[in-house]
Amino acid sequence: MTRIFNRGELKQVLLAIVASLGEGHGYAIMQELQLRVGHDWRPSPGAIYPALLALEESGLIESAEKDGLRTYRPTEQGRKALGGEAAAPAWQTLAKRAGASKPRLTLGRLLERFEEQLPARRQLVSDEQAAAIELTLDEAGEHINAILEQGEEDG
Amino acid sequence: MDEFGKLALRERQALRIARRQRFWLHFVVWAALSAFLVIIWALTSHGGFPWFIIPICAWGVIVAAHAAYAYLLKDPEEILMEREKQIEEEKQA
Repeated sequence: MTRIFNRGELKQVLLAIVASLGEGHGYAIMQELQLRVGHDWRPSPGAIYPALLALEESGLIESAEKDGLRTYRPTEQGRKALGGEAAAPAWQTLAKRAGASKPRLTLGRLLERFEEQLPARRQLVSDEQAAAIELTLDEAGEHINAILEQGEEDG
Repeated sequence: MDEFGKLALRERQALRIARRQRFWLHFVVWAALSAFLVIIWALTSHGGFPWFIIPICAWGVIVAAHAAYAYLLKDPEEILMEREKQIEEEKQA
């Protein structure tokens, strides 16, 4: 999990999610967190589970075993702690951090990925096939150049 | 501890193993370079001042700190997980 939380932020965010879900198990909480942050950011159970334990120890949430899954719900103290707009997590800030931590791709990496994922890349081709493929690649190259030029104009 | 908790525990254990592996890599590099410095001293100084002690000790302090981080120090999350595991084991016993 790429770090996007400052100290204590993860617990505050998890408390807000548990309160909004009413009741939820670890996977549901993790999924909700992933959905709210967005940007393909992936939370990890190794960070979330201990944070839930800490919240439980401080009496802000409580848990119960149900069908082999531990479900969490906010306590009255937890609801009170969350009350007020100031305590609400800044989802936009978190989403921004997740977006910034996402590595930016280069054109070279995209082309490498395309080559890696092409199942027939080791197949031998005839002269006619080679000419046709080269023509297709030339067209694709022109499209890519146009996209890159457009990107430069935009920004 | 439910399935999610076990997954978290495995992830924490993997992180701890990775932390210890990084320490041993650091230690091997330090030991190899220390030996290299001693060899250079033996070949060039002809019994003069053992200057190799200074870089070996200076870096050694960092290696010792790394060992403490890898084997002795624990994150609050790790402490919580260990306590949870202990409670689980006591329940099963």
